[in-house]
Amino acid sequence: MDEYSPYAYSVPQGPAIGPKFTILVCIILFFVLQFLLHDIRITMGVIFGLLLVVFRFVYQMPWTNWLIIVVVFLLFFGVIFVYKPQIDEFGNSIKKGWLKGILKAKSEVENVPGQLAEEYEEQKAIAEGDYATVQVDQAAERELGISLSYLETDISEDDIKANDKFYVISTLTAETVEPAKVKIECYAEDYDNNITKSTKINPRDEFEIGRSAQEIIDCEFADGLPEGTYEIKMKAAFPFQSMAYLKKYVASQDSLRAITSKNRDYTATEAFEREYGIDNADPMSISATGPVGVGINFKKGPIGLSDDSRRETMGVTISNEWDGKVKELTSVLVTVPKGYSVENDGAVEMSCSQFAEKSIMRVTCEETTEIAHIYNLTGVPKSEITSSRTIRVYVKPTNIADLLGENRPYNVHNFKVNVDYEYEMSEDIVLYMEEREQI
Amino acid sequence: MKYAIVLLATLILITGCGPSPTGVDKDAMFRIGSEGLSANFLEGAPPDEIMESYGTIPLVIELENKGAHDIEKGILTLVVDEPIQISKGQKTKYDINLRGRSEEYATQGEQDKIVINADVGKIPGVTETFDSSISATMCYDYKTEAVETVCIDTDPFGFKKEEKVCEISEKTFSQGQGGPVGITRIVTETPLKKDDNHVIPAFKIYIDNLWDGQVMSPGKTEEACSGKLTREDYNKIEVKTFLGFSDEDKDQLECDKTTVNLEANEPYIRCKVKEENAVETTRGAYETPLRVEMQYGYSFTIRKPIFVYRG
Repeated sequence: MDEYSPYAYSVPQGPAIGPKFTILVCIILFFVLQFLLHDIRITMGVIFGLLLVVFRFVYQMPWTNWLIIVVVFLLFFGVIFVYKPQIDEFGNSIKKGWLKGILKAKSEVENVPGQLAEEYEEQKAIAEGDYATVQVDQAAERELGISLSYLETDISEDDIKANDKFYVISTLTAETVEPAKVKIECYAEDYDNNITKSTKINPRDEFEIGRSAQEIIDCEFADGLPEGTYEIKMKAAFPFQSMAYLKKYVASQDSLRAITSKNRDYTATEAFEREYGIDNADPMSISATGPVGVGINFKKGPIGLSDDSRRETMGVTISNEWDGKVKELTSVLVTVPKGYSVENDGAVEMSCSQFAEKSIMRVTCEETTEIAHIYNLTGVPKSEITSSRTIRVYVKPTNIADLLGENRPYNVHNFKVNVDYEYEMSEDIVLYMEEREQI
Repeated sequence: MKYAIVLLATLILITGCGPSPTGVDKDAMFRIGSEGLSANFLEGAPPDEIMESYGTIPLVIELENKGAHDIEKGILTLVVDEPIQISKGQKTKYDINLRGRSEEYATQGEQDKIVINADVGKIPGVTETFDSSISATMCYDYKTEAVETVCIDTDPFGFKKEEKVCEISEKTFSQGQGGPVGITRIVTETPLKKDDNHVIPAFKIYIDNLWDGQVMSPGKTEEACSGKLTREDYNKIEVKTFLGFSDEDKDQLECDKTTVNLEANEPYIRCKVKEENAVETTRGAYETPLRVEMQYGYSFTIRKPIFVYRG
């Protein structure tokens, strides 16, 4: 065995402290001391001192060798002393990154239970066949909604010191059908979830933004923040409405059966398409662009209607498409063709004028009331949505003649869902507030 | 002399290419093609794309009876999708009465244009676009009358040593006979022997739907255009056959059925001359017209997708 190998100094009968253990202890000690003391010189001094003690008294290093190491250590310490600012900066960057990572991971982990619960609900809806895939209006040239750009600080992140005044800045962009009211909130949150609100929001914390507009928002932290690591958040909450429609073809059950049975080589949908020259008799629902997508899932292919037609389930999936979350569902309105009724508990039929009043979007009642019934689903859960939620809507044909129309071989109707909600966009930045050096 | 030759050649050409001077079947030249009623939306009416709340737009449907039979009391019905609505006071159902091709309508059948006003409303909700469409379904009763020459051979096995004018053969047809339903094949079968002096000619006549629409029993146009057809109404054609130039009932052929179902594997009807009209064997082989009258209802739909975008 090599004389200078750590094992050469090990005491067979003594406590078994191996070199790996020593190295591990040193690394942990480095981070702990640096975190507590913020001084690389003290940290390194303590670690080397500890190592010297261990080498001499645990591994029983010969005095001559030990003295050589002490000299090397003193030289090394001298270098550290000379290049302290550079080394400090290096240490701080490691520390900052580490702390930021921890803070970020913490906030992510805190969201996991909620996301898992929503994921479970989504999988359940898929298994039960009620989940509706959201297909966003491909032809839309505008992405509707309100968004925040990445958060930035007015001065370089590294130059913000503890208790210094600083600003966080973001650009709010609105693409809406109607002007929208936006509420802005800014705060800093530390590891223990202590909140420090910004002292001022410019231009205002609540304002109306135009249909297609941009506004620069800045949050002032006039007194800065005490030393430590913080997640600075800017939140923009705004009421919004998403909407989807599903086109359904209807024909009498007998007529559909006849068409299907004479086109034996085709599915019922294909047979119907062949009969009436329709490209796609089973289109997916189309959702407006925006932070929330809405999918409607209702019976495949054309609907056969007869006096014996029963209640059917229509799946409505409300899906969060952006990085924010639905803070609250304000209302879910289902518009069914005249001749259908909605039978959910808490489904309240609305007049078109009530609907128009309630909706943040324009509604043309003359057209709507002639062809449709509008229901407000008051019984659906209104709580926060971060991923998706599927609602089952029970619809029943009540007037077949209205649905089939007079003197036409088939008819086409649109089922619509309007979802009003408060959406919250959030941008954040992690800042490490370092104590300003005393001169 | 030169002019005389040119004149003579011109006369030969004129007389050679002109209609048959028989005078018996003057409408034969119109009984070609496999279309009956033809319909299409006029280009741009309605347009392919339109802005919401545009106001009133015209829908123009061009109709032409390209077949050889007249259409009486045909029906055209409209189905429109949001946000387009047929304007108030406008009908969604129209009658179609169009003469078929004949001497009066020699180059094309009678034509008509149906002009309907429709209003383009607002796109419902917040989508930027809306896929709308307008469909028109046409339902009408029609008749195809096919007249084809067949060979009647009273001595099919050639016991008599006589030269024959024609021979029994199978004839196929792909052009249609002036209607969407037509004969595709006629098989002249070996005549049945009634007695030593008479034979009974027999034929197997194949019928098919030659166009894209839907065949149904005649007299069902109302039902077809209101989605009330039953399974039994589809693909049924009533057929009458005559041999020779007569169209009197007594001269009608006896067939194994009066209604052909197009859903059969190879839809055909088997017909023979009535016993009392059996052909004398002394006539040898001769050619005669076989006339087949097919009566049916027909329907088809034309559809125009309209892309409505937000203003």
